[in-house]
Amino acid sequence: MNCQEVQPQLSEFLEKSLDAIRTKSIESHLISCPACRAEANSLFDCIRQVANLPIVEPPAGFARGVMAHVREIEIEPRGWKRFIAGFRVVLPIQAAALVMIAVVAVLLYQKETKISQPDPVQLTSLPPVSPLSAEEQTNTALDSAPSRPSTPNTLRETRRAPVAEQDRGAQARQQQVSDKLSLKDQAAAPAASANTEKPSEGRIATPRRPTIQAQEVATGGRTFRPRTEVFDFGAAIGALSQTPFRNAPFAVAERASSPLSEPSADIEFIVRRRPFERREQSEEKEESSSDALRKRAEADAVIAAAAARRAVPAPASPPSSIVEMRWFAVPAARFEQFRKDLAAEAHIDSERPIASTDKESTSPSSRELLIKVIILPSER
Amino acid sequence: MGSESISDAECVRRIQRGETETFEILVRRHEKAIFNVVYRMLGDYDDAAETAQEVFLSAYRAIGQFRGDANFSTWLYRIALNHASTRRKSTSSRQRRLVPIDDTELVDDVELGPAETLEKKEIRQRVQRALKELQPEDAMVILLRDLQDIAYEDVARVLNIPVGTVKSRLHRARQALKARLTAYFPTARKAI
Repeated sequence: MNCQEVQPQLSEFLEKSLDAIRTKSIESHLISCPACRAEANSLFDCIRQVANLPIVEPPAGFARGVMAHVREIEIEPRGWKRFIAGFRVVLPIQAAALVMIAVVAVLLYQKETKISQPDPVQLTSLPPVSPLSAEEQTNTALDSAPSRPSTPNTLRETRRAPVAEQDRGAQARQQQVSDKLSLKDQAAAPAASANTEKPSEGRIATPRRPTIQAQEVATGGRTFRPRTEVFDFGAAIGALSQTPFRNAPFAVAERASSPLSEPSADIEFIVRRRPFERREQSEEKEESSSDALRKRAEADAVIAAAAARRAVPAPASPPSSIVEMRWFAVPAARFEQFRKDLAAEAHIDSERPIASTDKESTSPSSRELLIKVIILPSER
Repeated sequence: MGSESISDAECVRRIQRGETETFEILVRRHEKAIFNVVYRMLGDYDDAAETAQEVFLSAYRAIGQFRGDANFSTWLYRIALNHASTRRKSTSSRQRRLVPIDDTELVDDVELGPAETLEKKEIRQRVQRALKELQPEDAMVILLRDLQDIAYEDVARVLNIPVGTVKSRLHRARQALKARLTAYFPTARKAI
């Protein structure tokens, strides 16, 4: 073992932490090497001097002083408690913010759903989805005879105006559901030129809800009156139903919740409009009194009879190219008369009694019959 | 149950549960060792007292993070090393006070004569000065091993270095200390 190997191990040798073999080797080298021996002596002196340094007593009351500060510190939250305390403050704020964000998100989602999706009332009454827009549907329907049961704007608009007068409550509900739709309805009332109707800016191309005549009739228990000026059906038919229309088999509230529900007709007619005929149409205003309605219906009958005698040729584009459905409440005793008048006004394709068994068995002959008339376009 | 029978780990657990007064047991148990290490590193009694107090207060503040993986004393020595190093830097940047080893270090050997007593006191002052001139880590490893007689493994934990590194660092630190003290031990060469 030489000096370079011994000197690095002198510290451990002096501490007696080396194994026996190394210790013996170093001892042998130190006996023979005065330089390493002097190095070892000085190193040993250093260790001894440090080890002999006296233990100094800390100041009196050192522990009390420390504890006094510790108690002051304890007034404040300790490090880890401060960490937790920070969370105690922050967590509720974060939780509240999270709840707020969630509420706003839900509200926004609901609002967006209302805008993007039509009202369930509209959805249930919508015709089959067409790839054409509402305006295109209008134009198509007016240009050619429709091959699907969608209602063009012309007819729908002329029909919708009296609806708005008859059932303002229903229209108010529609306004609540969709401002756009009600705006369109209001604009459509005087619309004589649906072709020129252009979509206003920002309007959502939501398909229009076709009018369901059954609803109109049903709610017309008080105000019903056949719209002869619209459908070219004779006032005689209107006169037949001049008796107060029986109460609708479904309530208004029920109708509001289920617009597609319809009464079960006693008899269903499928008729086809007679071409080249036209009735004189007269503007009429709705009256709320049932007595006034009766008088008006009688007057309509006279006017319609006169108009039928005139048999004015049809205009170039009669508004009779649409499948339509009408409801009539006719006393059973006057049913034959009704059929006769109906045949005079249109060609009856078919007549089908529906659910007549029950009603006839339970009702006398004086009861009213609920008649459903499906009007097909005229043949050209 | 007396405070002597409570282990450091149990004291720490109690403090963590909120028994603040238990910390006094730990302070009284370790104050001398911590104060002496800090005092030997700084060489000033007042600085050492102030720094030792900071060491205990820091330990108290951070005691919630003490998981008991090491001995409490080891953890405390590490805090002391950090505070003493910081204190050294701050005092060295200030005007260096030429304060000799104060009179707190009394030479208690009554058998020594005045000359020997003076010589012994001077040697201690030299050793203290040499320790102060060492790097904090070198001074600390010497103090822990030679003054506090702490095992290599614990020294390694305090300094957060391997045991082998502790040995090599200890030898290097002793060589550095010897180089500063050789002039004061001329007779040492004649030893052995």
